[in-house]
Amino acid sequence: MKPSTLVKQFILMSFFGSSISAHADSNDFSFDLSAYQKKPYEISGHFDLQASVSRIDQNSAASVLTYGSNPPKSLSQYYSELEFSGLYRAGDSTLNWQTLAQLENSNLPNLETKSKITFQQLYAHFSVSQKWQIDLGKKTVKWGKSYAWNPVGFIEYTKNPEDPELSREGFVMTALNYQQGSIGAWKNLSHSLYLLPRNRDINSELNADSGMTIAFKSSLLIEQTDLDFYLRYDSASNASSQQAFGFSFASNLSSNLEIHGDFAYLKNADSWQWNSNQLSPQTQNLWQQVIGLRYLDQHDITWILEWLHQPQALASSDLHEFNQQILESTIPQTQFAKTIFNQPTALQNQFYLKASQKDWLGIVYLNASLSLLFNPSDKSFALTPEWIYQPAKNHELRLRTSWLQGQQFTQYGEKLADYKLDIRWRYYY
Amino acid sequence: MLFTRRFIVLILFALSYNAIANEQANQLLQEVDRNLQPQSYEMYRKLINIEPDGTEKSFVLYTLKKGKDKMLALFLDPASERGRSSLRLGENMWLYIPNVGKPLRITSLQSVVGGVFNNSDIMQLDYSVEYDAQSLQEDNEQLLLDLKAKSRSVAYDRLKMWVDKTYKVPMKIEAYSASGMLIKTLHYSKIKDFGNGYQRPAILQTDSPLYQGYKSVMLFDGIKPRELQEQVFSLDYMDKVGELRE
Repeated sequence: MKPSTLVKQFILMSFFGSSISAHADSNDFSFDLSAYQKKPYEISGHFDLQASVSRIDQNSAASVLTYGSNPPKSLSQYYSELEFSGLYRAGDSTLNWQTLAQLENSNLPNLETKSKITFQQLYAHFSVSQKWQIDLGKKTVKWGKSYAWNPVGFIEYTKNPEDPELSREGFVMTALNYQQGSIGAWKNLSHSLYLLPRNRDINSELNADSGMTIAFKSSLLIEQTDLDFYLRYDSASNASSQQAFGFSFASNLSSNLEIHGDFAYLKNADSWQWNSNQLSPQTQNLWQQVIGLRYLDQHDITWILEWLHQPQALASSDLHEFNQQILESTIPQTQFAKTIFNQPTALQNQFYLKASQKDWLGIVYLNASLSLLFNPSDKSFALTPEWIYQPAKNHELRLRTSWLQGQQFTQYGEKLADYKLDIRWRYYY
Repeated sequence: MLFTRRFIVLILFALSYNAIANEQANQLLQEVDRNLQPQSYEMYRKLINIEPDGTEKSFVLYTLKKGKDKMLALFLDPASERGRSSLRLGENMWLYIPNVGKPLRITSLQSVVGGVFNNSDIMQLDYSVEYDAQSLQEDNEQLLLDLKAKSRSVAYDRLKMWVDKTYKVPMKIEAYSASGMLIKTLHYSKIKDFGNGYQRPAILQTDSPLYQGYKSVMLFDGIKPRELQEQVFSLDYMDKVGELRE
């Protein structure tokens, strides 16, 4: 018997006991088609149990800001999450929802157990025809071709490159989609219009001023290249109405190499400036871009390489000064400033590299990956190996470790933890 | 002079004989495609991966196809894969994963799920779209077609296809790499009447020397002609494929 099979059997026995052996003995190739045909409603989701332990870098700027002069040596955190999603059908229309209930606890005595329930999405979908579709309600819209960042995500929350597949909440909108079809060499032309009302209670994260956000997206395919164009316009009560223009492409250069890019120009965007040893808000025009490659090599390893570049964003030298001031206590800095600098798109240049392989070491259903976030300006990095294994139907085990390393005052050198271990069991239903 | 003329005639005869033989082989290949499924259809498939210790993992796919090169496939089961869909337009291929929330362009050689089946098996177009038949011969009670991939983006460079003489459907296929290595063998069985004039194998079993001891079984059901608008085969539709089920 292959070592990989022995390893797998050990894991199966350890976690799932005798329920697996009964499953293995069944050998009827039956196919009950009626079980998979359309029903009036569908329910799906997952349940997570997660534990993580972090080794706190007691000399880092982040730990000084978070814990003051007495940071703990380590931090153990426990999470539980229930995602409850579904849809209800009425004719050609559907009511769709995605709710998330989360519970968090830690080993620190002064931190209370946190819990929250959010409607990530709740919207009605009207299929007027196969060409015209309307969505009404809270919906997550994801734009762009990049994996780790979303510079053209004009009407979505910022993606976290440390976990790009993390569920993100939507915005309240009316969306109208028209599938135009083909015009000569232009294939799959489609156009979408989005209307997002803003006030103090709804969609205020898009823009603090009340008004309406209007967004538009057009997509097409030319030969082997996808092209997307984006617009966003914010009407506002004051003079500083924001506008954004974007463009994405993705194309196969060969049967195992893909190239993609997202480019955004934001006019009158809210941003931050490090000046006179303090962080101050400002309105300016911003350019943001991500260029990336996806490559499948002869060992079946998928490589994703992406470069985020935004020349008007905060520089690594700004962060260097900020961290230095915290540690030398020259000027008191706030948690708020830390939050701004910690944003996944805060700095001018970042690289992301991910190598992943299915059936790693010949073990079927074991996916292994190695991700690297690298700041080329200060040479600091976060390295994250991850293993995801499905030992039985709908059960998933994930083991993830992270090393955050860098010189003093650098982006990843001054993070809260310098090492993190995280294990998660997920059950899909 | 006479010798030269005879030589040219002989060469022309050999070339035209070869062309006629290739034409017959390609006609048979097209007939095989027509007998396997309608040009535009919907279909349900169950994929079962069987591991050396007997453990099984199954996936259920709902598939739609239009014309020669447009295909959509949606995972309906297990719950961990539900909602994941693949779109193929000729040599363009995309993958939609609910957690990612948007279609990602993938290379045609990329695997969608682990195990013996890869993307090309799940999103395979008609054989005559991807392969040229180069020869046709009799082999015992079956017809043997030798197929060569039309482009390098096709997963298997060469196929040997044994075709049933009565039903004109494949019963066994050997898939080879460009270096001549046998990658996998596909065994079709259990010819079943699916209605609408389609009598074809309902089971496809696959084994591969690259996955010693592992087997994959694909069960076919619910094959029926279906006319769909071109708009359905688009990126915006990848999260709504399930609604197209009747």
